[in-house]
Amino acid sequence: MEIYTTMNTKAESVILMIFELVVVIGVIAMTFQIATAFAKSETAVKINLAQDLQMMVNTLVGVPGDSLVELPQDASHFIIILNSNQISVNGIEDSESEIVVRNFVLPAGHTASGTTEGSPKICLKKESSGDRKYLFLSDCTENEP
Amino acid sequence: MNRKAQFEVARKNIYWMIAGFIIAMIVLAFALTIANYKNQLTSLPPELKASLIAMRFANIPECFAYQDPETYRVYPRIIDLSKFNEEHLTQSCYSTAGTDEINFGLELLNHHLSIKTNNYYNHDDMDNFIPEVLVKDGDQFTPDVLVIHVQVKI
Repeated sequence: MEIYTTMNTKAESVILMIFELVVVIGVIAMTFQIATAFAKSETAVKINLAQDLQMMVNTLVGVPGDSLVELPQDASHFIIILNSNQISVNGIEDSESEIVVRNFVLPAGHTASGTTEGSPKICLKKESSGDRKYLFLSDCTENEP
Repeated sequence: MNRKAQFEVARKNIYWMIAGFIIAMIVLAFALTIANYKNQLTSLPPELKASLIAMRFANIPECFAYQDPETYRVYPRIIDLSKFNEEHLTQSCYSTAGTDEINFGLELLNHHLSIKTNNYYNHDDMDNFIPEVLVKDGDQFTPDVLVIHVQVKI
């Protein structure tokens, strides 16, 4: 039994070739988009910054007495918010869904607070007042004499 | 179509079915490789995190370090035995919301005392020893070893 088609074999092979080209271009575009999104992303930097600050808070808590630590990293592209149970880092132009948060546990009598936005150097300061201990996050220029 | 043409069309169909599946797997593997690389860039050894948290146990008065009630001077690595209990540990020093956070079990070897945080279930991932602590019991000071058992996550 013969099956009649409206196309001849030459037309079929041209259409198949076009289809193959479209698939190849689509795959290249997808992989390029994934790679570009990763290269532009600052998520890894934000995560490292949040983890460093989390460790700094735990270190200051574990040391008796007052102390002042400067973060050895440029934080001028970020908004950093410290409160009594977490540190959150976000890019200045990023949306709220891209915020990176790290938690910590403070002992009794400890309070943490502070916000920086676009500060190149940030400092974490621990101060005692009677039985209360305070951790402040601020721009380092505020702590210079 | 003759038999040869039918064979060609069928061959192309089978080829594209297999090639489409393989290409999809390759793109997925590429995305997973990038995500894995990003995780490697931000990974932190749990031993480091646990060590920094554990610093507080022997060094600050809110945990177990002895503090002179008259001068308020803190003596790091001198454990006040009157504070070495689970109630003080949980309410004043360190407590967690669940087992996905780092939990600790503390043990004074020579005094045969052990306490633990509220979500510690003896699932030790590492031990962190602090040798050469002094334990203050009333007016007596005795040397001891503070063993800190670490449970990273269950």
